[in-house]
Amino acid sequence: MTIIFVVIVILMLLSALRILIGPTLWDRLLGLNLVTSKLIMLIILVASVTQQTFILDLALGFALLGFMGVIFISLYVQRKGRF
Amino acid sequence: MTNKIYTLQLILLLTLFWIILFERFTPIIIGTGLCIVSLSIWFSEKYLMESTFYELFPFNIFKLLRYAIFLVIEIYKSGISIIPVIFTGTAKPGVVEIHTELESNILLVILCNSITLTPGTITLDIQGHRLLVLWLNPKTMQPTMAGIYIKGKIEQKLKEGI
Amino acid sequence: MQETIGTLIIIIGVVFVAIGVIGIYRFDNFYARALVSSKVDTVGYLTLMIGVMIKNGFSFFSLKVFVILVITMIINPLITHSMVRSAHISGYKIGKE
Repeated sequence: MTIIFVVIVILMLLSALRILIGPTLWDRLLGLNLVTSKLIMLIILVASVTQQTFILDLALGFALLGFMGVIFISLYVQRKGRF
Repeated sequence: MTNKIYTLQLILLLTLFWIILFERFTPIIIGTGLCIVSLSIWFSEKYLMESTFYELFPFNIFKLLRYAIFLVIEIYKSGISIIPVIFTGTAKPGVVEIHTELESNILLVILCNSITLTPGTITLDIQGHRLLVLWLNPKTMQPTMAGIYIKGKIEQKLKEGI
Repeated sequence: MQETIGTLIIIIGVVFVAIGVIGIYRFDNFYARALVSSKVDTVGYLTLMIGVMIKNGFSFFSLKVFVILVITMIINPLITHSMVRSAHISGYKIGKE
């Protein structure tokens, strides 16, 4: 299981690199979405290893929070700043 | 499927969600769940919405489950077929326009979400019965043929009812 | 036995996710990146969740993971659609880069 954790953290860092080097704004949004999904996977694996169900509530909250963030940033860009 | 059976099904589904969130199966939890679910359905039908849930989102849980299993199999099929594209690195995305025959709003939303969830296609816009779809490596630009490739089986399943 | 099968399915899911992350470095325009990577990521997510559910058996833990899976399967296409639609309306052309 430790190897799986390390691999997912490495993949998360690689996705975060796309936020830094992305040529357009939407590439950065795509990177943000990928980082969020990796983080949810990591939280669920931690909950599965420690057998604590309250950690799953964190994953649920984080999924909804990432959803709101990406939706509102892309709507803001789509309307060119007039919200 | 009448209105009463539909409401009963909605109450049972939401109570199940309540019990899962509490992680306990005791009479007190079930009782408070039933009360709060019934109260919230009544409140939102009376004050927040213009019509009832049955007119806006009619669904049958067994048909919905069958559709979900079908959709998961479709996702895996096209997800595996997209992997060679990544390793060769050749992609020329194009925007095609397709037509649909579905009428109600909920069926259109489910169709668009299914097209987006299937790897290789993303819905961009919808105007009436016209859908704009972004397609990886488009085979044709003609609306009818593209429609058969993109949404053929999904639309057939949706026409049987949900 | 159950644990071994679950761990194997989790490893398959991680491989799918890794292919998705390779996908965002292989292409040179945004549409291809969005189409390929986020979708293969969805398949990996689904596989990993099924692995966790098999590993824990039938309990409240699995049911809660299932609820998270259903909610994510509903909001994931909305995120992708909103992102690509924003790029399309703002006038991002294919092959601009």
